[in-house]
Amino acid sequence: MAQVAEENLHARRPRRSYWRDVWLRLRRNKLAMVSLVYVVLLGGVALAAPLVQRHDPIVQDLEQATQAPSRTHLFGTDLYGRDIFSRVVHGTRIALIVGIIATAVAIVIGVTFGGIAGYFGGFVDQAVIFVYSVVATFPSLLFILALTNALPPVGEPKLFKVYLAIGLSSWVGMCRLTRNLFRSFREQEYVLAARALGAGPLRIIFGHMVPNMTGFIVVAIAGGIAGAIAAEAGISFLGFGVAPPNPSWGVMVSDGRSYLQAAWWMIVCPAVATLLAVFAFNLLADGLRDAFDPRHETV
Amino acid sequence: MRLYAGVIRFFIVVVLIHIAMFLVVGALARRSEGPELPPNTLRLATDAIQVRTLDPVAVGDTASSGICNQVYEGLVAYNQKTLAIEPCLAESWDISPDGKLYTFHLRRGVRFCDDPCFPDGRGREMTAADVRFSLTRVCDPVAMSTGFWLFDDRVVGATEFNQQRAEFLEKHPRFWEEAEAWLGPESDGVPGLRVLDEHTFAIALKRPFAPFLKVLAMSYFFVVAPEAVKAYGAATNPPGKDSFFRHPVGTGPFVLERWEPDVEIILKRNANYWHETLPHVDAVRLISRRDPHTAFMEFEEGNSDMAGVPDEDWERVMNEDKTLKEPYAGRYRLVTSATLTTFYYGFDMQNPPFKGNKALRQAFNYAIDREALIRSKIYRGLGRAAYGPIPPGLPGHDPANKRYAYNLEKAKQLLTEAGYPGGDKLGEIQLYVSGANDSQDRTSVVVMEELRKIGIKVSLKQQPWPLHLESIDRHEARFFRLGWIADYPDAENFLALFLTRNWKPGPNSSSYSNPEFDELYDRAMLEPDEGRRAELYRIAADIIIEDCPWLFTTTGEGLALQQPWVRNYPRNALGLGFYKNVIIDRALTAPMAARDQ
Amino acid sequence: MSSYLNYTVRRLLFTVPILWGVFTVTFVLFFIVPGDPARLLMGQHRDAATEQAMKVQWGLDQPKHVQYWNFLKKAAVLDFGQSFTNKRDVRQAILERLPATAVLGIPSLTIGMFLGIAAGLWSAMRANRAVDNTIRFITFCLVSVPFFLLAILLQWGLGQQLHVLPIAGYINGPWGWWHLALPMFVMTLGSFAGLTRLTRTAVLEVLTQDYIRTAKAKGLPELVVVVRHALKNAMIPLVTSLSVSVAATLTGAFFVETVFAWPGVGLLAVDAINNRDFPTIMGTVMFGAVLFVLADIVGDLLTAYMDPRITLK
Repeated sequence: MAQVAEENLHARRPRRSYWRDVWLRLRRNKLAMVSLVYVVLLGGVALAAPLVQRHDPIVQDLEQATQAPSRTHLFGTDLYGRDIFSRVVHGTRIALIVGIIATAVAIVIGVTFGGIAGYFGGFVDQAVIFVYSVVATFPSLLFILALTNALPPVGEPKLFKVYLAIGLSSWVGMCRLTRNLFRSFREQEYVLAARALGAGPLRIIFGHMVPNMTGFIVVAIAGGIAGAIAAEAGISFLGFGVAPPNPSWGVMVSDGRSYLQAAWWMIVCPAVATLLAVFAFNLLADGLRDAFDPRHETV
Repeated sequence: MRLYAGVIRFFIVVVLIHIAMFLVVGALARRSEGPELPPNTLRLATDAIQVRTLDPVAVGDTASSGICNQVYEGLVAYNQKTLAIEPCLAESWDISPDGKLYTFHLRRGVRFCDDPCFPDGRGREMTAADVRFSLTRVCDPVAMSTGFWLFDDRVVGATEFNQQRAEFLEKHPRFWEEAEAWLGPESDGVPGLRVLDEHTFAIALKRPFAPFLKVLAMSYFFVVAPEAVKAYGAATNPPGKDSFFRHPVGTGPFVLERWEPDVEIILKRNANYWHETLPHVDAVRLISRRDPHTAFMEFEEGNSDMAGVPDEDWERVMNEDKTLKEPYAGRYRLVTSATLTTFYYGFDMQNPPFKGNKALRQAFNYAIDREALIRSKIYRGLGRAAYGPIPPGLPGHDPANKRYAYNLEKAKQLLTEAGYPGGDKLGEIQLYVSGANDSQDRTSVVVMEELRKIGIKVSLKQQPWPLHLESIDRHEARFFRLGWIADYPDAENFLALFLTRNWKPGPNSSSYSNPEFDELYDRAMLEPDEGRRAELYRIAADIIIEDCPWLFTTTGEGLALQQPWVRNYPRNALGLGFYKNVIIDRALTAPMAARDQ
Repeated sequence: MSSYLNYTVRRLLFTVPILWGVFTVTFVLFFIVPGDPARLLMGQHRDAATEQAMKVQWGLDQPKHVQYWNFLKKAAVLDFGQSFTNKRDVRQAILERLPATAVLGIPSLTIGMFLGIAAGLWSAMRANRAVDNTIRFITFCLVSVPFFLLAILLQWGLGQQLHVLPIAGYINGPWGWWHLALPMFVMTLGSFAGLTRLTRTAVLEVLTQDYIRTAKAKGLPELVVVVRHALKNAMIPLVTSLSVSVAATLTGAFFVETVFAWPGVGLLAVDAINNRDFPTIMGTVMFGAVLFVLADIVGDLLTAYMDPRITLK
């Protein structure tokens, strides 16, 4: 009930002040601002990685293996003598790429399917429900592993199967949400009006309904990136993700596990990087959720 | 007040339910301990509990053959230290002057272990007919043998027999539903395997094969009881029922008491064993410990008798020079041994870019700093640099050969000669490896980096082992990592990897072909004198080194710690374990020197 | 009561095509993709005749759609054949390892639920004060942390550094129960965090309703008000998301079992994927799917029981 009322408001208020409202509310949330800053920082580091890192992340120096953190090697070296700081920095790139693309895949698929189901109803709706039920019933980890097994590794650096797999396994939530929203949107006045004016379903869906979902989509993006980063780290840890010598954080954690006693920096640094990134995106998602819908109390 | 009492009662109920749940589920979850084990049991914690089969002819992995070694025996056996051939089920043998007929005189009084498959449950005496049965099975595709290649084109009539059985298979695809399908009528047997009388057995070869006795000591040729095969149906039943591969009946020093996959294997002394004093231990228990660190902690607590030193504990326990730190040096015995294993990266010799381009292959070989690799934290000094196909310890190995010692300039120069200056135009090369679970192939990472330094771009393609082999078979993999563990301690086993006739489906994975080499090999097989044969081996190896169908990297070395009360634990270059000789002497509290065992 | 039965039957019928969908997707992902399963059964030396014999015996020589149909028929009665790696019956292997996962999963789910409800209640009742903020912070961290990192961290912290608890291995002997402590602690933390957050939201929403204010105005102590009125309604979203909790527990089990070398179904599944052991993969996937579906139905039934407004459709 509360949601429907809000959507009606959206339809009547001019757009610009809506976004300003959102931004102002976000600004008031200190935690969310901190995480926003951190996210932007991550983005900057990822883009400027070659400038930030001191050494080449894949160059080895066997004599210098497992050195403790020092002036030359800020985070120490790993088993092959590679500089961990540079690897963590470079790993930011991989994490963000995976996060963004996987989330994009999930959202595009989820919104499209959910939108079609919500708008058309009937048989199409049933079909979409069937498809997402199957995906949801699949044990999620096994689904991702099965997909990484089946998909070919293409692209540079061969991450295609990883982000596609993560994306394909996480679109269900967005799909359900879109479907529910669209079912209520369908009866809105502006939709009926558009249809009366002769607008086709595609134009209605993508021209009117989706824009009303922007808030949800933005929140979903932030949350999705967090989830994707965590997922990529998890499957790399299990050995199914990024191949060496690419510095994925999950792979670094997996490599460093046996050296916890002897060389703690090998696992602690990438682990902390992962944690901070996931935290930041999650906090940002929470903050955005608050900002878009102040009546929705954050947990 | 009333409310709080209610809440408390509620929580008590919750806790009680949980306790009950624990007890019930836990009781179901706990694997029952099995019988109480005697104090002189040999206990090993290992992650090699991935035993797949205990049918000797189908054994393809070290875990399975390790157990088979305890419950079965063959005509001859390896000495547990020197790997020299010793009598086992055969007390003595004669080899004909032309080297083509081996006559074995079987030991008398050898009994199979007791088992319900025998009419009165008692194991009967082993005879030559049993030997014939067992060896014939090796050639029978119906038995799903993986050892036929050793008899193929060697033992008289083996190839033809295998052919016949293959045709039989084609006509009777669901052979397990037919009663006597496991072995054809007597006349269809292998002519080269002959029963001369109850205790005499002969094998006829098509041409002399010098290492034949060493081959016979392999686990494929262990003697099994025909009654067991018939009763429990080897591959004749659909697998999974109580099959022969799970129910071994042999003449070995131990019997299989219990096999819980992924949990433990318990072996008990075979009451019918023919040797008067062996085995010394009454039982052997192998516990599954997937995590090497946990296995090591069990060892430190005294719950297992031997362990390898995992990464986590290396710095704490070991010195730089591979000796034990105090106080561990006074507590455990350190045992190192070079193993007859060579690790290499094969080139596909039948396809570009490596085909016909010796300079390219040599460039690869010069680009790797093997000594640094061994010294690094990856190997920690365990292993030796390999510059040729034959590992140290075998006649034919040339210790002076350091042909491809690390030389970056030479590598770059050869690369240019090969037509790819600076690595241009070579494109990206895919290195096929098989990684299991989350253990990365560390050497491959180093190799990739070293090749990158001379401009060659390498990417990794990881697949599970069977797919890895398939990619090599199909020539999809041009550059791939493999290793070879010696089947028997003779350099011939390594040189055979380069024979033209051993192309797929044989073990010649790089599809190397050189008539000069083949001829040299054949000559060596005919040479009865060990010294001259070793010289021929060396010359043959030189050809391989020059042509380098492989990127040679390292040979293996193992290190383990033993408890002081363990004596005579088998230590040999093949990593074979014969537990029958082990003595558990709880009276010992400090490790004895190795020579005293 | 009969309407419940009715509903259950109808739901079960509806899930059959879904399970079929899961089965088919798994089959396609593993079987159609390149990789000759017969290869998995042989070693490095193979000859054509033996390979053919193996193929025939395992039914792998027939065209794919025949294999699919045969497998489907057997799977319908929960027979998944034999594992490619060690030839044991897959169903038996799963059943044998099921107690291990159950002893991890079930208590962690229930304990997590009770603790989660308690913490969520407390947090909601003291909304926006110190207690609430602390709990929110802790649960946020726990929920955000990638699960495997949590497992590793606790394994290292409590197990290795403090030598408090054993770090791996399975229950063996009377002191073996200690092996259970760490993995279960890790899993409980996971479910606890999520459920706390859920409860807090639900309770908060109820607490702002008018009838609560009325009850308070009547002079009833806060705890009574909350427990008697709010809790029941707040439980509904929890129960509705039962299937999600179960699925999350199963996924958590995969990581925990890998990290702690706990021989349960999760580890079986990960190993099977590594080895491309197709029958076992199928068996574990279907196991997870059936579990999810059952939890879903039970969740819906409970929701209907608890909320008289909802009718079972």
